[in-house]
Amino acid sequence: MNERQAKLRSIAGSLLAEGRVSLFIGFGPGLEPSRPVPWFAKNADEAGKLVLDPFCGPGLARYLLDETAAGPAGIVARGCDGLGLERLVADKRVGRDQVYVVGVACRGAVDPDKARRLAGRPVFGAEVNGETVALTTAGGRLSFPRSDCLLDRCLACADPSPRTADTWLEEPLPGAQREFEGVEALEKLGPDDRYAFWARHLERCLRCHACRNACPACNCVACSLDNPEWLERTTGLADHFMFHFTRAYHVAGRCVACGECQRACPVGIPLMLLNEKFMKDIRDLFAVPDPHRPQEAEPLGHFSPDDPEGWREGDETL
Amino acid sequence: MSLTWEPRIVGFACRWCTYAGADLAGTSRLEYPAAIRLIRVPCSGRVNPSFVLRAFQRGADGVLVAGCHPGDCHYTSGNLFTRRRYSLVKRFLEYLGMEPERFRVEWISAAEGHRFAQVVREMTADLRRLGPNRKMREET
Repeated sequence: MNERQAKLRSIAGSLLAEGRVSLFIGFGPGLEPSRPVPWFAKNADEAGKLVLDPFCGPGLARYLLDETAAGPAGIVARGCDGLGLERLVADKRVGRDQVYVVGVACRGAVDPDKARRLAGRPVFGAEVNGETVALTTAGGRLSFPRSDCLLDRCLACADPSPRTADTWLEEPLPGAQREFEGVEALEKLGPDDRYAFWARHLERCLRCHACRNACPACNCVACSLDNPEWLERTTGLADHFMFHFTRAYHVAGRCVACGECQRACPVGIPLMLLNEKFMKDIRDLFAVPDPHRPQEAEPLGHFSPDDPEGWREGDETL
Repeated sequence: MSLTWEPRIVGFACRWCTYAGADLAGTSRLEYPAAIRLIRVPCSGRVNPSFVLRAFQRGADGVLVAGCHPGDCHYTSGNLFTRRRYSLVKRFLEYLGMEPERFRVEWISAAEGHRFAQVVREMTADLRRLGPNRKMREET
């Protein structure tokens, strides 16, 4: 068994046994080895079933919204979970003292669908070694490039470890600068091609609200997207534009780039390209170097008397 | 689309500056196209970006958001928030595929009747060239 997992189980077990947390949030066994599910351990026994392997994909921060009501909760946090927690704390939805963070150094999570497709057979295990990923199948170990196996959001990740933690499972990895290559490529197209791109993707939207429900920044108690005065429960392309425009704008300057919306989307809409557009413009217009990390002052919650007018023609990009 | 299509512009005008500016254009007998429908709002900061998209969806060919010059807001800072917001929203709409000419943000004071007339003339000319908007439209 892997060492990290054993160490996590013992940390979580003792936190629960000592009563320092009433619940520990991590991953547990799912229906398949390649699909661990969020796991809520309430005692040392359940903590003994925690899983920590490269298949641990789903974001966990959002669960803190519900799970800290009964008392402090522990959580195993990668960079994305850490930023999600910071978001919830900054929005005053979760008290930082109600969360015990066990920080890890994440090297990217393997996408179970991509792995299954690449391997051509069920996958039982994975190991991320630098630029390659080794998948364990019944037919032996197969090796693939990292860029083919990981979740989309992990490929763009600049935050392998949370910025702060109460204890570390291992040595944290430093953060990096986020790049917006996908957005830049789309910006180079003409308006009609861009519209065609978005119409083609948004047409598939089922309006299941999974993107909103998975998002640590979409934590409002009442959401305007549920209000028929703003958006009716119709499923035309125009309404999909309204939904995605509103969702992306409401998390502009607040999105932590955890990519959970895109991972949760059942029809594979590249939602991060919407969120990243706002991030890129906030970086360029308002000189915020890391727009996806919660700021002291929210980019859209304040102003500066000499802000640029981003709509003037010939003004930087676009 | 009827045979005599004329551009339709929805203009959100701040009650203190632009609306008075439009009034001045009218009382000064300045000529400008009748394409614009003005909606009076208390402040340009009142204009939720969803209003803009909704206007496009329900038939506008162009949308104008106009308010006091930065520093002149009746509520001190409303238009400074507008500036931040619409810097992003303008670029985002274009990113979704809207032509840049279809959406404008302008500062027009109560004394700038000429400026108001000029902006409407420019926009109408741009929209005549582009033709009716079909992007993000609700099916009718």
